[in-house]
Amino acid sequence: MKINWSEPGVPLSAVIHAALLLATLIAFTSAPNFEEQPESIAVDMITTEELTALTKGDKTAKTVKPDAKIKVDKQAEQPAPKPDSGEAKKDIPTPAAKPPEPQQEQKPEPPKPEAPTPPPPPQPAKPEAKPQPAPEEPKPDGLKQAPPPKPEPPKPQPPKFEADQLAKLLDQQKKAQPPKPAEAPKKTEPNFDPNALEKLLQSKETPQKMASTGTEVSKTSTAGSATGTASKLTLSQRDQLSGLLRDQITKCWSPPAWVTGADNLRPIIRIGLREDGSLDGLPTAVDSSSDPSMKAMEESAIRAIRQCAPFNIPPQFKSYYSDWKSLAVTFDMKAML
Amino acid sequence: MRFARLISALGLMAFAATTLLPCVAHAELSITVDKGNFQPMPIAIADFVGSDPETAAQMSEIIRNNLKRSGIFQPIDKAAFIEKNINFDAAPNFASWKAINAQALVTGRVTKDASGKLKTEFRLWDILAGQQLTGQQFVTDAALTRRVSHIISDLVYSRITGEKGFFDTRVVFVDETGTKDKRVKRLAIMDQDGANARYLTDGSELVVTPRFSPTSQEVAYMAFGDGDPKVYIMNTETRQREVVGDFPGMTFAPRFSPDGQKVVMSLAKGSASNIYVMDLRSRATTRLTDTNAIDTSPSYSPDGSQIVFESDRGGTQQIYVMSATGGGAKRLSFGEGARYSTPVWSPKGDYIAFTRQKGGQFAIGIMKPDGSGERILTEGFHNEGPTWAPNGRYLMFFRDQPGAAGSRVYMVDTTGRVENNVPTQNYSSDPAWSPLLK
Repeated sequence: MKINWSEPGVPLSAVIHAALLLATLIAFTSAPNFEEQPESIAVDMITTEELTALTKGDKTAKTVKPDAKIKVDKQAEQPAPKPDSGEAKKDIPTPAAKPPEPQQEQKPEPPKPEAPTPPPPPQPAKPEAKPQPAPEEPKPDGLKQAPPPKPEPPKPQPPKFEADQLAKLLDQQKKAQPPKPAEAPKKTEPNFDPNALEKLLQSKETPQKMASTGTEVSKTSTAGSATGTASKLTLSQRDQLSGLLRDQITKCWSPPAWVTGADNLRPIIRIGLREDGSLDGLPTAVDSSSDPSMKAMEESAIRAIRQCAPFNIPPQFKSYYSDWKSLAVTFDMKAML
Repeated sequence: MRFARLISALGLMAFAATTLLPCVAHAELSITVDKGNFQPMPIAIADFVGSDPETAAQMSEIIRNNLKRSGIFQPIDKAAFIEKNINFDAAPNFASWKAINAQALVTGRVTKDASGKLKTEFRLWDILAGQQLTGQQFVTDAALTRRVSHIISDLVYSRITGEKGFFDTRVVFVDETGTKDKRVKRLAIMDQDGANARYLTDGSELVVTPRFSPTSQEVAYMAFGDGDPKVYIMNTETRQREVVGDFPGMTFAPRFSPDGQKVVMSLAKGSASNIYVMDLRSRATTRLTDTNAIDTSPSYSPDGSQIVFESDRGGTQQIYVMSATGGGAKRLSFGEGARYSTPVWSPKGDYIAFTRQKGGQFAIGIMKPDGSGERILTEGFHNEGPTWAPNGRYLMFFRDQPGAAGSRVYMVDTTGRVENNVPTQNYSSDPAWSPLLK
C-alpha cells in the first residue's frame, strides 16, 4: 500500500498503535511476575479461616518453629511405590514451581496407627533431635538447616483394601489428596533438591484411601512457620486497616508546632508489630537525621507510636498478620500549618 | 526514516516509563499521619536532691515554672508522683512514671563543696523509651542558682524541641509608677520570668524604647533629658551610658545591627524623619532614607543585609523593606484599613513581627519576610511593641486593658496559642528581650 503523505492519519495511527503494543510488551516483561500457582489438583474445599489456620498454625500453641508443619491428627495412607512406572496417575504439582513440603521435623513419639491403616513400621531413626523451642525470631537460615524434601514414605507398604471400605474409597479417591499443596506455596524455599524433582517425575503416588490431613501424624500444633506465607489483605482491607491505625496514631501525636520549616519535614517511622498489636522492637526513623528540627519531628512521632501501643487490631485482620506486622508511618504536618 | 525514529522514540519512552516506575509490590503497610492533636508534653520535674533541700526545691520550682510558661510542657503535679525518693545515680522506675502519664522526667542533685561552690547535676529521662536523653553538671557560685535553673530549663527545652532555648535571658523594660499625668518611667531589668528585677535608671528623666544588643548586655534607648531627646547606649552590668552620635535634632527608635557594631535609628528634621545608621566604632553616620515622610522603627534582618521599617510615605503607616545600605524600598504590609508599625525581624529570620492597628484594635502579629502569611497572635484594646526571644519562637509585648491605669508585659509564642503574663511589681511597658546570657 502506498502511503499517502498528505493524509497521514491512517499510517500514523497504525504506527502509534504498533508503538503502544510494543511499549506494552516491554512494560509487561519487566512487570513483576504473577505468583506462580501450582497446577490444579483435586482438593478438599476449605474456608479462608481454615486455610489461615493451617498456614498460620494454632494460636494457642506456645512455640513458633522455623520448620513448623501443620497439625495432623490422622496419618495419611502411604502410597505404594510404583517403581519407575514414569506414569502419574494424576496431575503432579509442577516441581520447579513448588517442591513438595519438606517433612522436616520428626516427632519423638511414634505415630499412632489408626484403623484401617495398617500399623506402619516404625519411623526411620530420627536423624535429628527435636528442635529446641525456637526463639521468637527464627534464624534466617532456619530453612537451610532443614533436610531436603522427602516426598516418599519411610517404608512402602502394599495397599491392603478391605472390601467394605471399597465403595467409600471410590468416593474419596478423587479428593483424598491432602489440601496442603494448594496453599502456602513457599516462594522462598531455598533448598530445592533436584533429587526430589526426579522422584516426583517418577511418581509413586496412588490414590489415598482415607481423608487425611498429612502424611504423618503430628499431634502437637505449632504457632506456624515464620516463613510461611499467609493470606493477603485485599486492597480495601488494607485501606481499612491503614485508616484504623492512622486514626489511633493521630490521637496520640502531638505535632511539634514550633518546628521551623515543618512543612518540609516528613519523617518515616518503621514499626514492627506483634500479633497482639504491641510493638515488636523499637520504632526507628528511616533516614534518621541529625538536624534538630527533623529530630524533634522524629522524636514526637516515635513518642506518639509508643504512647499509642499496643494498637487495637480488629479480629478480622488478625489472620493477615504478615501484612501488618511491619508498618511504615509517615508523619506530615503540612496540612496543619 | 521519520517513522523509524518515532517508533524508537516511543519505545524509549515506554522503556523509561516502565523502568522508572516505582516498585509497587511491597510488604509493608504504609500509613500517612497528617493530623495531630497538640498537647503540651506531660513532664515530671522531681525535686532535686542534695544537702541543701531549700535551694534544691527552689531550683526545681524555677525549672517547672519555666517549662510550663513555654507552653510546650505540662509539668505534672508533684503530689501525683509514685516514685518519691529519687536516686539520682540510678535510672528511675520508668513504669511508675509511665503510670502517671509522664513522657519525660527531670531529676537533679545540688551539693555545696567545701569552698562554698554549688555543684548542680541534672538528668533528663525519656520515660516512653526508658532512656536518658541528656545530663550535665555545673559548678558555679552559690548565688547563681537562678541562672543554673534557667540553663537547665534551656537544655531540657532544646533537647525536646530541637530549638534553641530562651530561659537564660533577661528583659529590659520601662517600669512605670505614679499617676498618669505624673508618670515616673525608669529603665529596669529582670529575668525573663519576671523575677530578679532591678532598676537601671533613677527616674529623673523619661525613658522609652529600650532595645537590647543581640551580642552583648547593652541596651540602646531614648531618653528625654534637658535638651533634645537622644539615643543612649547603656551597659546593663556596669550601668555606664553614652549618647549615640551627635545629631542636631531628636533621635529615636534605635536598634542594634545583628553584629552589635552599628545602631540604626530615626532622626527628625522638621516634619520629616529619616533613617540613619551609625557605626559604633568609627562613629561614622550614614543616611539611609531621604523622604519627606516619617520613616522610623528600623530593624535589621539577622544576616544584616536588609532593614525593615515603618513609613507613612504611601499615606498611612505601613511596613517597608530596603537594602541595609539604603535605596529603594518595597512595601510589605497591605492589610485593608490597617496601619502597621514597629516591625521587628526575628533572630531566626523567618518572620517579621509588627503592631497592627485596625478598627480601633491593636494587634501583635507576624508575617513572612516577603509580606505573606500574616498571622495575628493577639488582638485587643491596646497591644504594642513586640520584641523577640533570642530563639525566635516567642515574643514579648505590652498590653493596656481598658480601664487599667497602666500596661503590663506579656509573652506569646509564634503560634499565638501560648500566652503568659510576665509578672512585674509595677506597671511595665516597652520590653526588650536580651540574647542568651554568656
